[in-house]
Amino acid sequence: MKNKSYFGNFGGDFIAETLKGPVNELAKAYESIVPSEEFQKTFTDALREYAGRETPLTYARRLTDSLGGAKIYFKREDLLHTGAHKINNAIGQCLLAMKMGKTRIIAETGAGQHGVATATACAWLGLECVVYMGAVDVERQALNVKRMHLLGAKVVPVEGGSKTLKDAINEAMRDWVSNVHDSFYVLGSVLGPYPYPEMVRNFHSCIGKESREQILERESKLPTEVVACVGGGSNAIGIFSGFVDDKDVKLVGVEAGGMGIASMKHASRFNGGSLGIFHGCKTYLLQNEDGQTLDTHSISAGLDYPAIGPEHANLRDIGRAVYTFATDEEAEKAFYEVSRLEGIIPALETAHALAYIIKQAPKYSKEDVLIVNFSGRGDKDVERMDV
Amino acid sequence: MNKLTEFCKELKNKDQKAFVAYFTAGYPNLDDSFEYIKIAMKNGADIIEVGLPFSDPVADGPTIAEAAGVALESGFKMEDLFKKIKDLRNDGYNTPIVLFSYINPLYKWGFKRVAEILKDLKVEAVLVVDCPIEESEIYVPVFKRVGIDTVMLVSPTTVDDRLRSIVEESDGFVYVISQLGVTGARSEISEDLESQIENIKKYTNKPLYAGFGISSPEQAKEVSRYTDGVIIGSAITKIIKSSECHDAAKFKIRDFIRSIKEAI
Repeated sequence: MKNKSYFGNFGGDFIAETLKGPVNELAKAYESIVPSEEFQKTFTDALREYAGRETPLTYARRLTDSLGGAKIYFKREDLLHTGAHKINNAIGQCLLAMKMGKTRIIAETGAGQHGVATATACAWLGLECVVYMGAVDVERQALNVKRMHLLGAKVVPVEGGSKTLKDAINEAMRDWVSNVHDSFYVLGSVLGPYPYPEMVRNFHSCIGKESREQILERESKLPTEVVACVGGGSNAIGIFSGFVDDKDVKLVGVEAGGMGIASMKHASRFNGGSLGIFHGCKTYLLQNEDGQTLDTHSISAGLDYPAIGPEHANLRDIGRAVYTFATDEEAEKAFYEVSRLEGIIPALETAHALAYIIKQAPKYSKEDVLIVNFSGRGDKDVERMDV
Repeated sequence: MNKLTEFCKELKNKDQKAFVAYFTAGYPNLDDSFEYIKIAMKNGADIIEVGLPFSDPVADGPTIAEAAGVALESGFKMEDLFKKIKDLRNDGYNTPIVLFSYINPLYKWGFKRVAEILKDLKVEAVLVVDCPIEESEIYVPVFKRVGIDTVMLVSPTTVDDRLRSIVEESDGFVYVISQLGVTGARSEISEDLESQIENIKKYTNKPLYAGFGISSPEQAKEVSRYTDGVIIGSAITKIIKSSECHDAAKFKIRDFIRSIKEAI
């Protein structure tokens, strides 16, 4: 009830009564089905045989050398099928949906990666798929829209509000409310009412688990810092979860600094946000004094969201993780630099974490190890970038 | 017993059906919206639901969601709303008001602060759309403490123990959502509504008012056959949207309100 849906002071189950039925149904199914040996085996097999896990932990030699500080490792979620970490969760939730007898999948998407991942899982499992995407994002991530269509999904552009991720979530929730009996809402991040924040983290926990085993194997020690970009927070929680009990490992989340904090055009919840109740949970929210959400901005669609996953809010609150930000400009620079130095084009979201690494690595010695979650590849962003 | 509870009980005892009219505050602008509210109060609405526009109206369909957007664009501020309500009361408009809101604006202002303000303004009740009973202790006791009723929602998927708890906690009336889905006028009312209402009656004698989707006097008449009242929001909003000008809207709303009151 109340305790299991909270991370300290954050989280909960703040949804309209119309959604309570399906959310409760989902919570019960999640609690009884997902921990079972049978489900876990099906899930792990799918991650391995279809999605391509285990992903490598790549030593970024040229980047490390050029910065002259800590050794940098990339956890290669970009190598996962569909090019980002999102599919771990999409497969998990779609498998659960099938177990529940649901035939229609609804999803929201920002950058499009979660939409693509869900459309992919649906194609693979034979489920109907409807993806809601803000009209602004439909334009700036056109490649992903095309992919979703090819995968057989219906993409519905959302014209309401700011036409980005939060509005796509609004529309997806409205759809779910109207179609509770046959539909399952595959939420793409560690947000929303219970059980989503916990469930999504669990489906991504393979990232952290693998990383920890891999780094111990390679370096015979734990990393100094584990770094990830944070939009809703799923890739970050995924990798953090592997190290949260290792007190000496610093966990760093990098938010979207947009055009700088002072400009008020950013998506850094911890710089100017305050406690609010939004999209089902109590968390840090960028809002005005009337509790209306602020229009956020980031060059990357996936980080462009006014609320942060409640588990992140708690990790920060208890001092287990720290959060910083990278501006659009810094992310862009990192995008070009890592492409040239390592031959991997990062997603603009990931580039935020890389921007932080570029600043941070020189402060350490070669004895230190930094792992950055390479959450996705940047093919979807190539069109918009200068060459 | 608080004012709204008393009011609704009396109506039910007299076997009079209640007509609750919903208006998005600030749509299309604050002054006009309050003129419409006054017209509704003068022409037969028993209770007015004043909807606080929110940036992310998840439970609302396109009509009311759009109205909220327009209200915010036109510069809606909660402070101004409270001033308007104060003027309304000072001008002698005493029809009961339910403040209808998503939880975040009230949370941000502070429930205690809002409760005190509403008490001052003689707003009788509050209805929070997105806070289920399991989380309701965050606001319900705060409002109850100053004598403000907290109205609760039940939906077609609310059953058994939860249904029992919710109707027990709901003050004034129980808002019965008649459809699966979001707010929005529909051409057909779900045929399951009557059985839904009969089921709820097993758990309470409190007045049951049905809302979501009712858009015509005929529908209102039919629904009021087996409920204690009807709640209409989107249909009224649509009239405002489609009227050529403010004055035309005033007339249309007046006529619509009267036609509903007559029908039930």
